[in-house]
Amino acid sequence: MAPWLGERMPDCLFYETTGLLCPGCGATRSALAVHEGNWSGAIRNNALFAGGLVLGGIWIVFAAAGERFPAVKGLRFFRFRLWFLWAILGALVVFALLRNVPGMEFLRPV
Amino acid sequence: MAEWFYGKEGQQYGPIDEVTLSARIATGEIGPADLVWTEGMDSWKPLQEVRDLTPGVGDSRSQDPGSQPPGPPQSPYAPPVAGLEGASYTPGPSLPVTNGLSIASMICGILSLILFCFCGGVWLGVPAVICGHLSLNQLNAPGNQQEGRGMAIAGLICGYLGIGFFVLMLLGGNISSYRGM
Repeated sequence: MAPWLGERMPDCLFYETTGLLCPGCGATRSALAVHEGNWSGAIRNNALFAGGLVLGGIWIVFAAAGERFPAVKGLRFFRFRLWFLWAILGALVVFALLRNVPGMEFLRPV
Repeated sequence: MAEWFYGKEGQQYGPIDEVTLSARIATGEIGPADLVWTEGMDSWKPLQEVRDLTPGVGDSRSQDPGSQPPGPPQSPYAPPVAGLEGASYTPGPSLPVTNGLSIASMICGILSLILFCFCGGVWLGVPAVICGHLSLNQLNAPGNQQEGRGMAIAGLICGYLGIGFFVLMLLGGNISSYRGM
């Protein structure tokens, strides 16, 4: 745990109230694990956050390159389009459902 | 120097000046079938139909001085819609513009469902609902040709869910024992 964050992180109110995991549960622990270079721990705590971090990082690099070199055809794919928002929303809903059903315990944060 | 807009793969770009436009035509970024528009044209036209932009022709734009010019664009993002306010109605191709508030509503709504642990249901759910309703009002206004109804509705649903879950947390009595706030 990073010392400047204190000993205890804020609890997820949604989890405490309903007993269900929201798609963001474990994201803080995942971010801390990334901070420590512990990628397996990051995936273990919130696979969507860890995957989105890597994918989003790569995506931003290619999107910026596409802005700089508009003539390169392959880079056009990475330009922001509005269906990305639908894809993100869909991923969140699927992830939230999956991690709350039995048999998918590996998606629950530690 | 005239400012040009062009549309490609459903997205609108510009304004760019003529030098930039020529450069993008030269590199192939803008193809002959892509739509272009500048002030004074009453609708979007494919590049190949705009005579001034074909190589070898001079800088003067081919405008009929007798025809009534369309009204000035209200905003640079909706030139073809503004052009329709002119006297001559030409049902030319117009690039659909997405309502900005519907995008804002959907982004806030999505975030309100992730950031429960920071009470995101309230401080993101409320703006999602406000933006969603404003966006739907704008989209329902007569003459509005913008898109984004689905995104506004998605934002509204997410926002109301976020607020609803927050009320559920309040009723659950966990706020008082919450150490993160």
